[in-house]
Amino acid sequence: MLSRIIAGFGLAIVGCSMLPASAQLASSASQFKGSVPKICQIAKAVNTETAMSTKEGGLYGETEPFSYVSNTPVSLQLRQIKVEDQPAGSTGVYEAALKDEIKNQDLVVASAAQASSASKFASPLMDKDQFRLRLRITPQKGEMLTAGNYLTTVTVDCISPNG
Amino acid sequence: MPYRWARLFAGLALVTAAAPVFAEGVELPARIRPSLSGDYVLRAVLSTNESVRGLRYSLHKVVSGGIREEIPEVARRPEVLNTRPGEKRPVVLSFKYPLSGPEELALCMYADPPNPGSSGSGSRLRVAFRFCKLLTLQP
Repeated sequence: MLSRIIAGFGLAIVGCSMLPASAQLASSASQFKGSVPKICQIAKAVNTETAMSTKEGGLYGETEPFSYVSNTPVSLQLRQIKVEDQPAGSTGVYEAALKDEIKNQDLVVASAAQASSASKFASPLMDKDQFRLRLRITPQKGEMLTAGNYLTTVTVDCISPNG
Repeated sequence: MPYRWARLFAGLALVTAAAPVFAEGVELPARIRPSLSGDYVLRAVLSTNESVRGLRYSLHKVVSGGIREEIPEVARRPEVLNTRPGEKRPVVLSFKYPLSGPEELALCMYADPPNPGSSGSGSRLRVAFRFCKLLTLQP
């Protein structure tokens, strides 16, 4: 008898797990006809803070590699370079780039004035897909970068399609 | 013999149940139409896979697949949520949006990075990650 109950329970769970995801969601949130959550989860390095160092007359900072996991194609964008703090009178030029570590190339580039474009929707990501963000603050041509502390927040958007 | 198969299925079911579940995400309808009053009412569900204090969301225009400026009417009513692991937090956004044809928007959820200056001095680069999901507004 017990084995029948276990078998029945097992078959029910297997059956449920094989349902289309939308059906699973419908059963858990029937009041809301939404689509299935698409995942773009940071696998490593959430809200990191990296020290910047001087390089070629400017400032340079690069994060540790980070990765996303997703079960759908996603697109990445550098949404914003927000200058939180900089020395008075500084006219530094801000440029951020998101590099695909595996392809060893920049995916998208942004300036303080303009968000980057969004990268093309790529295949679902795994934690072996790694990205690195770098920020460069350079002086205007013929000028020196004003000395002092610079604090910059770069926003990385992971965009998931719907439906 | 059938019981052997049944036990195998039961074992598989336990493995399935034990697999990690990524609960983080945004549930959205793929497209919405205006209500009778003419406003758009967007019902979304936000979930995180760990406790998050200060979870925020924002609604943005989308141009060429990229996230652009916020919808001002939603930006004026910021909401801050605290979530528990796997908890589903429903949010309702009501806004006017004049449209001549279908247009794409994005709902983004994020938590602000720690306060500036919380981890030492010197020049620093901070990274704020956001998760955004697209939806289509229809006239």
